[in-house]
Formats: sequence, C-alpha cells, structure tokens
Amino acid sequence: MSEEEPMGSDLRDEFVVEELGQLYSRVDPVPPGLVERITFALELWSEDFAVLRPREELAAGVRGGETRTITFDSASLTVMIDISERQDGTVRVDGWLAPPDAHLVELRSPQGVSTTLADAAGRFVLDEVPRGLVQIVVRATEGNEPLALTPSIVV
Amino acid sequence: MTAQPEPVETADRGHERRDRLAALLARAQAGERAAWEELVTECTPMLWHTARGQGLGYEAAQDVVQTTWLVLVRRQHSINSPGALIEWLVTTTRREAWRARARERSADLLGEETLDDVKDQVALPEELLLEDERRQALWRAVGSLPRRCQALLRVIAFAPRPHYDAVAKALEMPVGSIGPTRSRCLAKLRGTLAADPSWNPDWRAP
Repeated sequence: MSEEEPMGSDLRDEFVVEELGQLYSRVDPVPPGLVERITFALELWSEDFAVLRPREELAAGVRGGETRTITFDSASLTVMIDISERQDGTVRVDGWLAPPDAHLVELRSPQGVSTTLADAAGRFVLDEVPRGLVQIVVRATEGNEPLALTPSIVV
Repeated sequence: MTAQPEPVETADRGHERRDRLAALLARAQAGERAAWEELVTECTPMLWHTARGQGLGYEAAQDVVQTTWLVLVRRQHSINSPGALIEWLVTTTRREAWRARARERSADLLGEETLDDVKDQVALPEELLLEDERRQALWRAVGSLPRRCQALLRVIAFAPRPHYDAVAKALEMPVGSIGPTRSRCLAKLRGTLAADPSWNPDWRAP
C-alpha cells in the first residue's frame, strides 16, 4: 500500500478481498471431486518421473458405444489411448507409446493396478477396465521407478 | 523448516495460516501423505481460480491444476518456504495454462498481451443476480476492471494473506513495466464500489 492511502484502506481492502472470494466461490466453484482426483494422482510415491500432459481429446460415437481418444505428451514420450465402451459396462483401453518401446504400462485405479507389457511396436491393451478414476503409469521394467505418468482421468 | 512459532494475534489469523503452511510443507517434504492431502485441499482453490482467470475452460483448467501438483512433487525439494511454494504454484499454473491454451489454438502463438482478448469463462448465475444487490455491485465493479486486474484479484481472493506478495510476483508484470499491481487494482475497485449506491458493506453501515 502506498503511503498516501487514507487510513483504514487496508481493512477495507481486506473486506473487499473476502467478499470477492465468496463471490467467486459461488460463481465458479472448484469442480466437485477435483481435490480427490489430484490426491489420487499424487499417491504414487516417486519423484523422478515425466509428467504426461493431456494434449488433446477426441470423442467419436461408434456402433455399440462411444470411443474417446486422448493423447498425453511429455518431452520424451507420447502416450495415446483409445477408450471404448464394452457391453458389460467396463471399458477397453487400446494404447500406443511413441517412441515405441516394450515398456510396462500400468493402469492405476482406486481398486488396484492392472499391468501389461507394450509390444515392440509400443502397442498395449488393457481390457475390462472398471469405469472410474484411472491413472496411466509407464515403467521401463517391473519394480523400476516410473518413467512417466499421467494426471488421473475418469473413464 | 526452521520457522519459529509466532505469537498469534487475534486480529491476524494470517500468521497462524503462514505457520500452518510452513509446517505442512515440511511434513509433505518429509513424505507424509496426509500433509500432501491437506496441502492440495488448501491450495487447489487458489490454483483453480488462477487457471480459470487465464481463460481456460472447465476441463482444461482441471487438467492444468492437476498437472501443476504432479510437477510440484518432482520439484518439491527446491522449495523451502511457504512464500516460495505459493509463488511457484501460481507461476506454474499460469505457465501450464498458457501452454494448454497454445495447444488448444495450436497454430496461433499467443503472447501474454492477448489476455485482454480472452473472454472470462464465467457468467453470473441468475439466482445470484436476483438474490443480492451488494454482490451484483461487486460483480459489476470487478467486470469494469482491466482483464489483468480481474485475474490478479481473483487469485488474491484465495491466497493466504501473508503471501499476497508471492501471488502478485507470480501474476504481475515484471518490475519496471507499467502494469496493474495489487494496490492499484484494489484502489480502482474501491473507487468504483464507493460510487455505487447498492454497495453498502457493513463497515460503512451506521
């Protein structure tokens, strides 16, 4: 605050700032579940991984259900996944790693982890994945620290 | 953390919050999971409003806030005070927001000076319009501010008070350039409100 400000302007500012906080909380609240999704994504205890940022998401309606395609990028790795609906209510995840490598791909969910190995072309499939919160984690080999991981997403 | 507990003044809960944040940061850095949860709960609203203030959509803003936390896990040990944490979080959210926006518009490269052209994604809900004249006055007054002031005050409103300067550092124009500062934005807002008869906050009431 500059010194020419009248006395008490700090207090008035404080009041206005508080009111602003209440207004914005009403007008544009933090989305429900966001804090839980973040907490889930941070559970994986590691500090040396690349963050795979969601770059784009496409949705297409196909016969028998909807398919979403999400691309995640880090400086050294791209992961693309197709999420398609199955008859039984679960989803199938078809993915590709680029550059291709036979890395271990994990799908973490609050219920547990399903793991698969990408083939030499970087392709992987995780089938019968329960709907809900998931996070993709890529490791060089089992037991190694993650190379890269995505934020949590809802499938 | 070596912060000594400071005496808590009744009129200033900010100190309490600063100490709490320092303690939380220390516990989080020691690997305590519950401390991370508390940190995320405490600071996510500030980051949400940072991302939204930069004009991001509902989904993209959530991605950006989550990405910021993931990056923090990697960088945590270079951050050694609550002020540095707040500044780092807001700066990173803002950068990630620009990155996401650049991706959305892939071809056109956005400079920061175009923030004025970005529409704020938020509209005042009808029920709020009807409900409260004073809030309407506040909303109008905020809307009349320069876009950059709006973005700054929106984040300040969710920041711990002792760390307003850290937020300002993360969002304001570089020192020496002419841009909005927190005090100038607030003074402008106060001026507009004072001229509005529907704004009659308690501190002015008889």
